[in-house]
Amino acid sequence: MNSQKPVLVYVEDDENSILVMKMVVERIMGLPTLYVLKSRADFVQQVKGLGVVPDVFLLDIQMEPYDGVELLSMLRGDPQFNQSKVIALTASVTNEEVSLLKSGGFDGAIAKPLNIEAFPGLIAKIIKGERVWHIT
Amino acid sequence: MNRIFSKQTGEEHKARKTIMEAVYLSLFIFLFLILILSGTSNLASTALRVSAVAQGLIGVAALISFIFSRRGYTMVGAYFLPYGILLLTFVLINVTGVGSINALFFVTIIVIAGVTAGIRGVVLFAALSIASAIGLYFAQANGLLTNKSPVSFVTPAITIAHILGDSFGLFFLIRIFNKNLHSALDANQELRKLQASLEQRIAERTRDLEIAAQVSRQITRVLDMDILLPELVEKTRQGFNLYYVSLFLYDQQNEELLLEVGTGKEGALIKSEAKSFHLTARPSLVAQVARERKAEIINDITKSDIHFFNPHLPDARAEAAFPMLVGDELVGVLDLQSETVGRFQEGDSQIFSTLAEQIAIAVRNAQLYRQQEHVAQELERTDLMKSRFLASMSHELRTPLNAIINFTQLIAMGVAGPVTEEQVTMLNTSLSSSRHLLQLINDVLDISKIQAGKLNLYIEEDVNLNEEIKAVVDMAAPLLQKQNAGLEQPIQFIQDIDHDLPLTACDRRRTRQVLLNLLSNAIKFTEQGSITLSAKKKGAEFIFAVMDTGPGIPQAMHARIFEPFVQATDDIKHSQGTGLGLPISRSLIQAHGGDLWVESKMGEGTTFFFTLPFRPSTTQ
Repeated sequence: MNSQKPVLVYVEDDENSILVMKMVVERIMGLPTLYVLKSRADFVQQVKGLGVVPDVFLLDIQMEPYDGVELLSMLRGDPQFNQSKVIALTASVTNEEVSLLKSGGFDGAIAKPLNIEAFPGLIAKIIKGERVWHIT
Repeated sequence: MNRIFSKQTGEEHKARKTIMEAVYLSLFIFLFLILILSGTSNLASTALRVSAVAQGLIGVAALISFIFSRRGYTMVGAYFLPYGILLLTFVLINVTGVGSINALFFVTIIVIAGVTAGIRGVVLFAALSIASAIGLYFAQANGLLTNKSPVSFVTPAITIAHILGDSFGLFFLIRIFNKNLHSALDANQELRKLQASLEQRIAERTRDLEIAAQVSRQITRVLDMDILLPELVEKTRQGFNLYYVSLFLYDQQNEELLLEVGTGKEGALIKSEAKSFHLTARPSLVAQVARERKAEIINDITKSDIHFFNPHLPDARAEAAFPMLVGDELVGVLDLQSETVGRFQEGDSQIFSTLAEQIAIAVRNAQLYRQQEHVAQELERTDLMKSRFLASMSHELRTPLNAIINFTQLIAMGVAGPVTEEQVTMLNTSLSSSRHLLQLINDVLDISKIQAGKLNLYIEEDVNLNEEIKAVVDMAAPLLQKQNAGLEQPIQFIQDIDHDLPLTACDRRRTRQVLLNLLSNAIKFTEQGSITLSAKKKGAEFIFAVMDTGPGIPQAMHARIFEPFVQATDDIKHSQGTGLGLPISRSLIQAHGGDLWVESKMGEGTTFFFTLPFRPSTTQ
């Protein structure tokens, strides 16, 4: 694990959200790059193709064709990413969804719109191994 | 003797027993009369003794024969009595030598035998009596009988004459009696048969009614016509042993009768030919019954010009049709066909009419049910669409707004290049408006869910309310700061909170939402004085209160502020809320099983209370 410069992977289908996240990660947090991947059946292949082991996966929940929950199970199915931190990003935080995310094996959830001031701190907590449910 | 000992039929036994009992009674009276009469003659002392002994012995004989007859051996009993008395006669004559009354005794015996044992008894005892009279005669002639009393002796000849005359008379009397008895028994038997056949008919009718009841029960249970009606006609056909049963439904609009269902292959076949005809169709029993709304029976179709011959039903010989009415309204016609000429009788007609009525009600119910089901499906579809709409609203409306909020924020932070102070102010205004819009969307979605009955709580166990309160207070702090910034005298914020509120099960997020809503309302409307937040546990519930020293809410508005889109004031400065916070909060608290209410006095302030039931952890 690279504790100095964590590697973040973001899976999202909304261009605007990607742009916001890129700005936050690259300009505010000062990380070299945000890896953006597509929701596809070959998701795990894409991750392996990055050449680095990501520290944190940020998965949008409402996506086509595979939603965040399905991508999570793809990741967990591969021993290489068994221990990766996986965080859900969600716009509609219904109670059912939160319980689904918790029972689904996510390490945390962060609400959209992004709380830009709080975000870097949350990522730091996640990397330290804390569970983060920043959804109110 | 076999006949004598054989048990008798109930009827005969009863008749003879009654006679025997009558005879015993009259015998006692007879002997009692002798006793009275003999009291005035010189026979007195002897007759008295004879009578007394005779009474005693006859009593014993009567008792024994009565016991026999009780057990059903009436004949044995009947023979026993005359035998006993005959023996008694011998004994008495031998002992007392009283010849004058022996004839009387003999006759008595024969009478008893005749009445109790019948003709055979008369013959037998007459013979025995004659033999004994002759025996006595010879005994006396040869001096075997020692005369102990000087009483005059009636000759055996007279005795025999007596016996013969009385025997013949009795013989014929008994014959007549027996004949009458037998004809009475025959009549009784006839009556029995009649009763039996009546019982059988009652049983048949009961069975018919049971089938009708069964069908009726079925009717009320099944509401789906496609299941109900085929079963119904089949049950009716089988239960009443009919050839073919069918149901026609009446189409009021087109004045047509449509075959809904018929039994067996024939029914399917006829239905496949789409059998329907106009109300005025002729010849047709069904159409006629529908027109006249009156049941009609054709017990022999060859003699009728109303019957419509159907080539699929070649064996039909009788037809009956019954209107299916609900009140005055014609629902359809129940049509029955039988292979038997004269199958439908008066009694049947009533049962089938009732059945047709029941089916009519069932069909009407099923039609209504079908309509209801249709409406329900439509509602369900609408409901589903509403749910989908809510879900997509929540996603589609928020996504662009999220981008607006985040980009505005990034620009204001100078991430995309330097911005002037004026620009920052404008961007922040844009940001707060966007956030307000987001809140509005969230509130509208919440209230839609509440109104659609789709608001589900996410109950967590062991929620620490103290922590939740602290989080809410932290969230409200910036609002208070902002409010205080524009005031000369800052508002005092007082917390009156039990520090060890026990852990309880509740929806954490929703509880926070309510508390934050009440606190931000209080901050928004208070410009001087204080805001007090209190939280206590009282009995089995927690009581929260948010008290402010704001303008207060007029009494007339106390109920209305909990209606969606209503605000207590028209003041533009304060009308920035969505007008949904209070109705949502109240619904959320009520969903928890608590309550939310307001107490307010104009000019003094307002207090919002709410309760949450205390639910300790169930898993220990």
